[in-house]
Amino acid sequence: MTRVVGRALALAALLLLSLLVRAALADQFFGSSPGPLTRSHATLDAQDHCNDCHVGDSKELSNDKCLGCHDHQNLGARIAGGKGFHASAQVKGKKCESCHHEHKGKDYDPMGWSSIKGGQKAFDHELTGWQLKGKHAATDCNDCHKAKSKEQGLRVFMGTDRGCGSCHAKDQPHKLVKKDLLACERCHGESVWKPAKPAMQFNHDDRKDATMPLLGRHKDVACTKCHVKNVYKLPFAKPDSCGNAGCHQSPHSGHLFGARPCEWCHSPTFKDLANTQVFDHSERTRFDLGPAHRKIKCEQCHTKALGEVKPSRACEQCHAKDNKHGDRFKEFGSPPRCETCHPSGGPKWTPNNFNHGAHTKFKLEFKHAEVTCRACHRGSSPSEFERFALNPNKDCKSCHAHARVHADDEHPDGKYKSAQCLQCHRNGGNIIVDTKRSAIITEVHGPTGTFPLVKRHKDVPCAACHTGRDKKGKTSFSELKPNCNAAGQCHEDSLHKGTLGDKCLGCHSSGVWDALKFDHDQPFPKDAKGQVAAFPLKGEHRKNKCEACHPQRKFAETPTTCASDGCHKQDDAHRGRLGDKCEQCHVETGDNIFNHNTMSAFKLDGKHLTVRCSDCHPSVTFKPRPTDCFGCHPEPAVHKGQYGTGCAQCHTTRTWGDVKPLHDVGDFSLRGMHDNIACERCHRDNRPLAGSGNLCINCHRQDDIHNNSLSPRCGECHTQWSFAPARFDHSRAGCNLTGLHRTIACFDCHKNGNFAGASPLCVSCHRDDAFRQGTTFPGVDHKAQVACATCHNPNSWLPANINMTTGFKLESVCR
Amino acid sequence: MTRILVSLLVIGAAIPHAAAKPKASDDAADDDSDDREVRPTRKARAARPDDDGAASKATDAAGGPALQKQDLNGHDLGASKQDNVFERDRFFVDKIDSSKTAQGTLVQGSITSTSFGYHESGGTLAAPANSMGAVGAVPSASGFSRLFTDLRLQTDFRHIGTSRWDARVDVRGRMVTEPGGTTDGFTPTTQATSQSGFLGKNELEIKELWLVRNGVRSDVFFGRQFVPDLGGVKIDGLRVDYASSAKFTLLGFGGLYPVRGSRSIDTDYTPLLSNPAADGTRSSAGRFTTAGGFGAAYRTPDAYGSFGGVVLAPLSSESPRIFGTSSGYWRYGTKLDFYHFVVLDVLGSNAVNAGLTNLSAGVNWKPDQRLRGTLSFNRVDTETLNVQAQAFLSNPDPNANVIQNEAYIQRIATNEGRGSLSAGLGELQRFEITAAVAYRYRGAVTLTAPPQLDATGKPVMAATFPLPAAQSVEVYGGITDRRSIKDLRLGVDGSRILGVGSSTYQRTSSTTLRASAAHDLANGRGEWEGEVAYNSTRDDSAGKTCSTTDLVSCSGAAQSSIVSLGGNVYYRFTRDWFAMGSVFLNYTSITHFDMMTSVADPAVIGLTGFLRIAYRF
Repeated sequence: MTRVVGRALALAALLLLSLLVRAALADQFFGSSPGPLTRSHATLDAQDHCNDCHVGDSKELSNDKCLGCHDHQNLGARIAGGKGFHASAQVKGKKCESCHHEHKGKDYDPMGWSSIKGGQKAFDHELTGWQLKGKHAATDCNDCHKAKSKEQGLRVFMGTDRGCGSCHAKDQPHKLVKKDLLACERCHGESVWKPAKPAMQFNHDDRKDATMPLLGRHKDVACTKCHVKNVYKLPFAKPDSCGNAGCHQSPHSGHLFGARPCEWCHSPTFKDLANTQVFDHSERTRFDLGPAHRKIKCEQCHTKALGEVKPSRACEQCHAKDNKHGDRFKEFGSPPRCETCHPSGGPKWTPNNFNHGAHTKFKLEFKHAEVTCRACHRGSSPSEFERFALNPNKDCKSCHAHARVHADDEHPDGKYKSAQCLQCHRNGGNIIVDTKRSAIITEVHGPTGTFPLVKRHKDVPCAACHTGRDKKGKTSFSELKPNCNAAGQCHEDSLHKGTLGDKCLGCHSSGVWDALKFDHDQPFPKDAKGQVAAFPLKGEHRKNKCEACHPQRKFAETPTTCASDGCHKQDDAHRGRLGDKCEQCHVETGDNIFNHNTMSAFKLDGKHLTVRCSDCHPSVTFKPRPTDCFGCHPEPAVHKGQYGTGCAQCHTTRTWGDVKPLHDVGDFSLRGMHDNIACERCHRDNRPLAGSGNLCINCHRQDDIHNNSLSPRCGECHTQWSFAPARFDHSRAGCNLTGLHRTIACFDCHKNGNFAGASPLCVSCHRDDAFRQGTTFPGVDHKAQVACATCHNPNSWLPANINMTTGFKLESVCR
Repeated sequence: MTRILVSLLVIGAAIPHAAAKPKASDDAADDDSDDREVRPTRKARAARPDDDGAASKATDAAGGPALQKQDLNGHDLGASKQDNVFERDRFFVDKIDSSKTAQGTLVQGSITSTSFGYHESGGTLAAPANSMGAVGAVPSASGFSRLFTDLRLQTDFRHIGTSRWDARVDVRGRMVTEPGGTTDGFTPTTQATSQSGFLGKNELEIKELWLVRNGVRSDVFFGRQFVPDLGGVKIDGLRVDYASSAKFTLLGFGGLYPVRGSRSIDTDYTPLLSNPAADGTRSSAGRFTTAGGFGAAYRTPDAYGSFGGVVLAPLSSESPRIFGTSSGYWRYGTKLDFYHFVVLDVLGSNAVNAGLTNLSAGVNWKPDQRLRGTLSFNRVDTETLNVQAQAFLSNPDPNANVIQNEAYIQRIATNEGRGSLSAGLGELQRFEITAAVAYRYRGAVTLTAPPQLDATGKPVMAATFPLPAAQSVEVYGGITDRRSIKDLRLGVDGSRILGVGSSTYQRTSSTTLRASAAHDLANGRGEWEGEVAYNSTRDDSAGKTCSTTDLVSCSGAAQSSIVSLGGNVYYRFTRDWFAMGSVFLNYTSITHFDMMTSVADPAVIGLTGFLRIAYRF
């Protein structure tokens, strides 16, 4: 027992000893370690992990070992590939520890920000390959670099997506989701988010940029019309579909039209959706609408009740309720086919389609063919349509209309039998007798008569016009006025309802209904000047049908203004902002004659002449734009915010880069070599480009070899191409030089540096020549000579004329 | 004791923490001390105003917006500039950093070769009236031609090795024909030189050669440079700019002052001479003149300028010249600009005759894009130091009572007032009409003969020659059609200078007419310009008898007319090469009066040729 206890105590003592030794060794390690590692490296903060970073138990560190652990996002490969910040010239090749310090405490910055003067905020982002500009330069790093490592909780800066959408996906109201569309720089600048760039860098017609190319009127629609609140991701599955799948809510849901493509009826090139002229019913459906159906609205046939079912082509399917004939026409079907009598799509229900000869035994000719059915077939309603039992071809008088014809007191049932009718009348239904045998008819209705019967009048039965009856009930040929529309006369003005007066012949000719004599270009009527002003038809107006402008046939009351209350009121895309005088800009040919220079306060010239209207006016309402340049042209970055809104101070509309006119006016027209130097050469320190004093010397002071004694306007002598050759001619300085003096150095005379004045006497420059010459020249003591010109000439000392007293005279170098 | 122990423990614990985590302010104070620093590039450091976007990006150590210094060195050193449409077609523009140069040194510059030639021919002048005996044939034209060719190298080095250092080199060498003084059997003291440059001789000029260190607030320049903000003084020395704020920069400089107007290293520091003593002798004034100055430059959104004082101090023989200078520009609204440049001598030889050495002041009126008006006043005077001017003068003749230009310095100021009005007419200002009137005035001057002694060695009374005040009025008018037929630029202008009073300014009345036509070549890659001009002059003394005691009557008594015809052609072969040339033909006829008789000299026909080829890199 004692042995066991002793062994246990010994074991415990050994265990305690080992712990003490281990603790002592640990104390030794922490005593020799330069300091605790950062929290990120806490797992390495032990003696047996030193060589995880250090090389061979030395203080030396290895980049490879660092990268061995920190090869997240392939950092090593990126460095080798020259990508990213760690591959930049200022970082590559450096030891990791030169920036990422360790052993400075658990809370020390492992990212190395403290190695940068100014810390994280002073980090030069350009080293990463992306220079931060504008607001990006002032944005906090963490606003973009939001990711943190899962293990350490440290912020991860590498691998941040550079695409705008990575940060601004939620900032943009456009709700764009495709990565390649989230290239904000196409429309926005980094310095100034608003206003956006005047020319957005995307093409709506390019399928890469937009799903739907802009056609027709869409080109003039303001962006926000479709993209409300700048939402460019339209909430439709098929944004290029017009109807319920696109921008335009279709009212045809549940209709046959709703099941058809919008463009069958509507065209983007039309002025509005109500215009459905593009749809050709006969082509699309093989059902010709005819004039009557063409006038009614589509939904009157294509009812909601039918839904997407096509209506039957048989008239009676739609018009069953219109059948007023009862079973009178049961011979023609049940229900009777309307087409038997009524023309399909005819202008009216008038039964002019009944083929009397085919369906009955009595072919209608002449007068019979012209009279209304009811004239023979009496009855108070269509269902009481009278039948004739006899054969009307043999017994004219079987018809009630002829039963008592030619009756008189002596012949109350008519003078003639049925068999006699055709003895006088040429044909059945032809009431006209042989007029050649009637002189009075020829006198009145002959070619030279008071009322020649021409054209359609030729075939009109006499009684059709001569409706009067004598006491015997016979046709009376008296008291018929030649006026077409006189009271009680032949032609009832059912069309114009008297609005155009009673002088039909002003427009119509006798026997012809077409208004061949009407001239839209002349006032109406011609002999009543100004009653209705002339409205000459031009261009597209000529192609219109009368009904397009005179839908109610109210010819005289049709307005002549275009928009305010006229035909095109609904066409005003400008919403009345530009007034109601459409004709000032638009003409009937469809051309636009608007002249910006004469019809607006903003004159267009130069490059402005070539831009599209929509480049400046985003909406066709043409809401007035700012007339200063800044309204459309925000100050570019090149100006560095120095020059404000006065673009016109320097630029013209000729080209944006043409700032020459600024320096091409008056005294300071910069040309020649000045066109080849940078503006900063004179406007240094980014000084206002408005004035350096306009004096050459202000920039060329160091080039002045004249000791500042001449004009500061170098251009008085020099050109702008170079200082030499100069335009200066000495004759302008009051001194015409000749000979040698024309080409010697200026300084030879103007040695004192003063070019404003010099003594012109020869001796003034050459006295020393004379003095030093002494008597070396035979016979002349030059020391005493001060009048050089007595012997010498201004070109060279020799030849000298020493034999005369007057010499070359004019004791001056100047001629 | 316990408290002390606890305090020591707290301090001991804080020291390693402080060492491990330096404060931001420490970074700011220890600018370049940390070798491990990852440089946040020059933009973040210097935050120059030309760095696009720097205003919003660059911050100082405290996180506030960085200072935007003024750029006063006359060169756009912005290494982060962006391409812009205004410079796209220009040749002498600053390069844009590429990704490669951004990590090293941006080098840009140009080499320009220029050659010039002038030759003239004429006839033989007629023998003077009343001449006796045989008179040698004297040609009306010069006996030799002018010819020079030079080569100029301009190079900028920016952010050298991504450091804060920039440099600029601008050097030029010129070779020129020197006709000398060779005449058969006679070699005059005065050697004739060609009309070229400063002295008409070969030149090797260092126009600029400097290094600059761009600091956050301070720029330090070393080397040959101009100080544009303080009178355009050229120095070989040191200049320091300190931006106390974005609007105000102090600047000072000091160094050696080369001979003003010198264009060659062999004359920059030529031996200087004193003014002649009473006996006409001159003493050495050494070779060097020192210069120093202090001033400030300012800028606001509507104004900029500078002012300060400059001292030019010869080491001997002449008291220092001290002058104040100011230049500035002020935009008063959008229609008026005012500007000025003043050099006011307050001490020294220049202050004797011309306290107000230089004044340019004016106003530009621009009511709209189509109308410009200017009013200006200019006064100019010689700015030469006596010791530097004397360096090029011959010794005076103590025995001759004459005005001797080569030994004499007279400062003569001239004044000019000018007004002009220009109007642009037509679509896009196709036409321009300009009218201007200028009035020039030079005050009366009395020329005094240099020091002289009589036969006994005693000074004699100096001879004087009064020159009356001279005035003239110039009327100028011109019209330009910028886009005429075939898009030609056509211009016609003329001027007439009329004397006012008894003496005409520069003693000459003249009429000048000029017509020019210009057009682009190859869609703007080049341009040609043709010109024909006519000029006629008439001297005040024309028809008067010359008297050697009256300079006015003797100086020029002729009338002349010049017809010139020529043009320039500029063509840019590639983005980096251009050539420019010009040829002009002049026909000069002079009629002078000899003994009241009008004599027509043989006409002189001159031919000028000029060629420049430039390459940029």
